[in-house]
Amino acid sequence: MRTFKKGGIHPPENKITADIGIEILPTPDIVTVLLSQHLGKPAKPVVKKKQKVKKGQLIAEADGFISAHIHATTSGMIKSIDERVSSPAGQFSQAVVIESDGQEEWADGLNIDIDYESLSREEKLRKIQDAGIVGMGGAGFPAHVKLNPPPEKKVDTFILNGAECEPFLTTDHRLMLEKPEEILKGLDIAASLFDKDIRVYIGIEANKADAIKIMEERTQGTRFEVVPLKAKFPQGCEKQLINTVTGRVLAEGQLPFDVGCLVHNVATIYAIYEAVAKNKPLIERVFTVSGMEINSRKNLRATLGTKITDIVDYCGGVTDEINQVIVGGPMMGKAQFTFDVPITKTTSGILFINNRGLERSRERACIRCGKCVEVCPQGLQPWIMTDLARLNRSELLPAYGLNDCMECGSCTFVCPANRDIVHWIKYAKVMNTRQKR
Amino acid sequence: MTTQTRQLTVSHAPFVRSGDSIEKVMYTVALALLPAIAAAIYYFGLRSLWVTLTSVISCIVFEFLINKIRKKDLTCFDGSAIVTGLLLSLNVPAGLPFWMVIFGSFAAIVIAKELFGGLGYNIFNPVLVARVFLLISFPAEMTAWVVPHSVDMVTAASPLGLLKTEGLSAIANISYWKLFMGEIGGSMGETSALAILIGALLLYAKGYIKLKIPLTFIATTFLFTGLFYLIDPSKYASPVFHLLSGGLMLGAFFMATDWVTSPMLARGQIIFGFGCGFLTGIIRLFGGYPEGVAFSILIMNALVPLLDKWDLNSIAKGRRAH
Amino acid sequence: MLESILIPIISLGGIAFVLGLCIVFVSKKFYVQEDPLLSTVIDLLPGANCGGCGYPSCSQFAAALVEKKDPSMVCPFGGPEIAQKIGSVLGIQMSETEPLVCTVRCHGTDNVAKVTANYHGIKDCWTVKIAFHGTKICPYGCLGLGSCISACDYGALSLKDGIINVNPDRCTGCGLCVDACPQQVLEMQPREPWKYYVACSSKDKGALTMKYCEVGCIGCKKCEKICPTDAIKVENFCATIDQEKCSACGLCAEVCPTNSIVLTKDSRIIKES
Repeated sequence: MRTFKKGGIHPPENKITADIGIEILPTPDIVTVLLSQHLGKPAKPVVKKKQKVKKGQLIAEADGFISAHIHATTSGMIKSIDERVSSPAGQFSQAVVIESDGQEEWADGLNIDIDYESLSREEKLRKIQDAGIVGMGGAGFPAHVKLNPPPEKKVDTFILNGAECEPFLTTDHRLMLEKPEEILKGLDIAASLFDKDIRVYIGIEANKADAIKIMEERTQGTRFEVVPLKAKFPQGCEKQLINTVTGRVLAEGQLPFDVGCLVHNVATIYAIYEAVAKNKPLIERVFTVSGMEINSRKNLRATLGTKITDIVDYCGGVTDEINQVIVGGPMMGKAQFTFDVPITKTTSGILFINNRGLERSRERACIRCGKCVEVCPQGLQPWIMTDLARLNRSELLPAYGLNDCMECGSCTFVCPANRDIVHWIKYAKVMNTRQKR
Repeated sequence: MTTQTRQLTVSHAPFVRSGDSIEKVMYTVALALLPAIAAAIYYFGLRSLWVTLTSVISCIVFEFLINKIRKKDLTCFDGSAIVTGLLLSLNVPAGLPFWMVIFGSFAAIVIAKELFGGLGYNIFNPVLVARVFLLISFPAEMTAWVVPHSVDMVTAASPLGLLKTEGLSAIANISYWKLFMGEIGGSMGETSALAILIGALLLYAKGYIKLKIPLTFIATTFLFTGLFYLIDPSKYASPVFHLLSGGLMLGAFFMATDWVTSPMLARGQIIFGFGCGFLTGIIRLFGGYPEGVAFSILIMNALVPLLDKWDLNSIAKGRRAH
Repeated sequence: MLESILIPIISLGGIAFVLGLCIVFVSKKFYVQEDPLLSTVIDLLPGANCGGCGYPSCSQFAAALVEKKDPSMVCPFGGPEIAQKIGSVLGIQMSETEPLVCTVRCHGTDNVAKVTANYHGIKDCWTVKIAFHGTKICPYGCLGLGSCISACDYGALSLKDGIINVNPDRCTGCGLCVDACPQQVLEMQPREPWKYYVACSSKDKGALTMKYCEVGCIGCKKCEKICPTDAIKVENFCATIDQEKCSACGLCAEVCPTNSIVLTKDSRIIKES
């Protein structure tokens, strides 16, 4: 079974929700749609307070090349445009608050069947852009930009990322089981934007044997090839996935198209299908609700802008032992400071946990065991980078590959001295980009 | 409690850990040393146990005192003091006076470890600093090796000692089997190669050993002593004899592999192991002391920061080349 | 017997003498001509090597001064006195500067500023900002983890009740702390005569600010209206006092409903609520 060469770890998988079918969470009365749900500049609002909107209507425009449109996720009335709303990233964002009228009425021309196969490449990209689709695995990079690399970068390999290597998360798993048709059509659409002889791979970790089976059956006789991957974290990170599937290696600073590859998440491809074949903008998504401190665990499909408080209520509340709420997976997610935060395009999961590690003792000195070096998938030296960052010598870190670090957390996972390695590395990156007097 | 009143805690990803901790590692190493301690009690009598207990307890007490003086959180129970204490006892003769054992603990914990900043900051292996400190201060008592199974703690020279002072003829009758099992004179932990290998196997199974170091260390010593044995077998002992006698096994698997004082990266580890083996050979064959393991490891410890720096520079250079 | 003493004395003494001659020769042959102006300037500078001027050491700053003779290059620690002396040595008129002191535009201590979530991790202001906006509900205020304390070479900053305090007797006005703060709540203000400033950076609407901090500026504009010298402007629901116009009459501090306005000398709350 294929896997990437360097490093990697095996955290407990905890795929508790793997067999639970996707449930639809009813749209709440109030949705809070953040205007920053993507990499790049936040979108600028094009609606006013008290304005009536239909479902899928454009409510904020992309600002610049790296940005994305934002749409009303339900029909109703604009209650307010708030300046400082808590975001799952731990900071604040502008948001449009919509009071739902309960009708779920789509705007004209949306949610209809489109004869997409006759569309040109530009038209397909236009639909993807109009729908405001961004990388839904967590990165949030605008999809229409990613699918349209500079002409000199020839893409000969497209990889569908069904790895889902983070513990607990089963979003992509359930999507592949329940919507294989739509996903493959979406993959077709994405691949059609490139040369006819592009190789298309579907990478799925071995712990999703049923998804591998379904995908293999459905891709019989097509040009798509399913590639089972050894379950190892961080298999789902772009660089590792490309290395496993194609053997190619990305040097520091290189992007996938520099080695002729393009990678997209399962949920993103599903959204692309809906955008091109049905004129549906990105207004809802599937995510996993898991962890031991929520009373029922589910895979939910919910409207963007639904608050975590609404989700907690729907799932029967949280236990008394809870001390952390994580958006994303336990390796690379974000701990939340409040329940009062809405889900966004990049929310792949919400975990309700009692992190006993918080009671653990403080950081000790590096005991030079070498485990961080062993597990780093990028072959870096986390031990020296942490020490230098702590001593305020962050400017020395890029020489050891600071910018190659994807902050996957493998090093911190294994460190017996309890050093907060990824946090220090993030600190060094911030220190290096600060303006010096 | 409703979600409105619940207070959350924010920390940085990752939110799971492997469960490894300094305590877990140290207690595993202590476990790996139990065969050697058992062998010591078997060969040298119950006094070995008292020496071990004295060493361990005084190490913990000294670290506790230093923790208090520095007004820091207690580190004396994290297991590293216990491991230092165990290893120190395995490096001294079973008949060493208890006050000297305590002296050794002081040298190991206070001078070699805490004065440098504590666990992770020391350059020299604390146990070896203590061993050399005791050897130079109390040369007679530190070379009074107890004869195995002796009733009254009768002492005699160790095989290496005999080799240095009386030549090849004196060790001709010592079987390899005795050397391997440990039924010979020597410090408490170094005699039984078998007990050491069992412990080393446990460390390897857990992934707690920088394997390149003991392998290159032993291979280098073997080749160096083997070379001279080939040149003149009437003057030099066989390389197998050298592997199984003295502190080579203990040194290679438990002292040179100490994480804190050994190189981080592959090339450094190989050079380190080679240096240790080479110096051990030189001291044993041509030096004034019969045994050279402790000195050779300490000398190579001094070079570790340089070896790491060299490896890091090569890495940085390699990255620039891309 | 005499021999055994004489021989070492003569041989070692001889070696020492020869080496001494070598040192004399080398010191004369390789003598570095130093600009006497440079050593004068170095002697005039405080020699604290604090970096407030933007150079790593006083000698490097002096070298740059002598080379550029730029009148705007004033040592912040030395102040106008030293600048004048250096100016006369170099033959230029140094710019007018005034002594500065650090002030903290936040006094939301533990008992008046509400907290959001706990934080567990590296205790540094920048690292907490990476994890989330800070433990206080107010995202603009002092984070209380002391990154500025490490940046200050003079020990003028300290943590008290979750907020940074400045010791004006130790503060030299070098300004290194300003960039060390991720929230940018540290501001250099002129020293004597001591004037008033607003110890709040919250740009939220008054009603919201009041909810999470008892001493935050709510942008009510009472201070702006009462100021006799028109020194106060309220922008984005936060008042700022122009130090040049301020007459230190203290009327603004009296009238402020949330005790947001304090003296630059110390950030003690002026009136009890």
